[in-house]
Amino acid sequence: MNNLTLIGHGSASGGVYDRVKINGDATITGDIECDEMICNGRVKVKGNMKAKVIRVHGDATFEGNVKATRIKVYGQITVGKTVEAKNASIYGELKVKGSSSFDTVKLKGGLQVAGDCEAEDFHVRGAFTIHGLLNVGTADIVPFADCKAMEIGGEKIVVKKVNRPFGIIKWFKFFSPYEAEVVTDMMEGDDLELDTAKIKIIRGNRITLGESAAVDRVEYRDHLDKHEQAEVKEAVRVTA
Amino acid sequence: MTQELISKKDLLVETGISYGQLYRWKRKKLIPEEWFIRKSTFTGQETFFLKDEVLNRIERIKSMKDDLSLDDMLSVFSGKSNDLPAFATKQEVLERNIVSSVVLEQFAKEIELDQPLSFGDICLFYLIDMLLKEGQISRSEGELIFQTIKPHLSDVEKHDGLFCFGRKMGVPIATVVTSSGHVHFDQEVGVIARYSFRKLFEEVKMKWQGGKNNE
Repeated sequence: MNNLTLIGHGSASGGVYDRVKINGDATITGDIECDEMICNGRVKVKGNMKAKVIRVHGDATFEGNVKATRIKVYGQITVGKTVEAKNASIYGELKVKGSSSFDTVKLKGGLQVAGDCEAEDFHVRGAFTIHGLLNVGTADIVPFADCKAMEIGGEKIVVKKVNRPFGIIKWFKFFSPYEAEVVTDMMEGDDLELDTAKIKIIRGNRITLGESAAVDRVEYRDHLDKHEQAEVKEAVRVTA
Repeated sequence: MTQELISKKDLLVETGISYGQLYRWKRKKLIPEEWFIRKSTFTGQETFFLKDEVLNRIERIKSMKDDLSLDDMLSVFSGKSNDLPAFATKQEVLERNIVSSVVLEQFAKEIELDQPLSFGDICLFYLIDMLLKEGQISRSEGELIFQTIKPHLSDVEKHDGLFCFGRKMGVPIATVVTSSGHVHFDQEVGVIARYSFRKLFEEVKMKWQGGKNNE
């Protein structure tokens, strides 16, 4: 077994390890490859990172590219270049300065991507800001704060309102009419079901718009189903 | 030569695919990122494609998608194919009818039938063979093309490129442009053939696979 454990304040040059554990404040100056990385404090990796599992409870900064099978963020991760991961569970915050590509994303915190973001399965109970294209197979989004992307494209995209049953939050809502929504310039997909969204152009095959959807223009192929309170300025049926 | 552009919307109508499929293929890298050209129009930003290139690619994806998985297709389109060995013997190339014996005789005379040829060489022979068959070049011009491309093969295999062949006042000119770009000649040059290497490699791979299926 070749493990790296850093406790306290320290630095390492990188390399290939089985397990890397950081409890404290560490700097890794080169590329690092390992089976599992656990960071409970603060870590800064100046090279590229490759791991099967990355678990961050504290604050991690990767200045290079990150490639992993599984990423779990309870704290914060900042990535300088690109991220490629099979599964990502984000309970804290993930910031990516390049583009990112995932198989499945479970987002319960925040995600920020400066480039494009790709995922087969995109499950959101939090918020995201994507400055490029969000390209998804299926997306299931419940925005807890505004979810922004320049463009969203995919096969099936569902946006639902936060379900607040009773209690103080409902009262709070009574005084502040703010409601989180998905905001984007353009959304394109096969099946779109949007409860709460603010979109300039929607294009798709089957589109359902809920009561708090506001759309400038809808272009649909098969059918459009819209709630009477949904704001739609223009709806056009496109025939193939 | 400016190539015709097609908007994403028209593309879907023309090919009969849905947004979901298009995005899916993009995620699988079957349609490369560079092909998506963003332009501003009166409705805001729109995505365009080079018409011939993208229609061709989508037709091919559609025709292959029943037989191959998306991941297998990627290996056909990208430079790295799992199916096509980097080296096929001269015999196999002849059997699968990728290159005619005439061309092989001219350029690979000293190579024995069971000796391997590199993938780059096969593509090069295929290109010359095709141009010869179409009657666009003469055999000595084939030689010129061979000599021109051969030193740059490893480069264009990695970075793609463009091959142009033309004549000015009866004098043949062969040009290789590495990485994607445009090439412009003076007006008296008649461009006879223009080929992207990526397209060439794909064609040979398709031919190779087609040959295998017929067996």
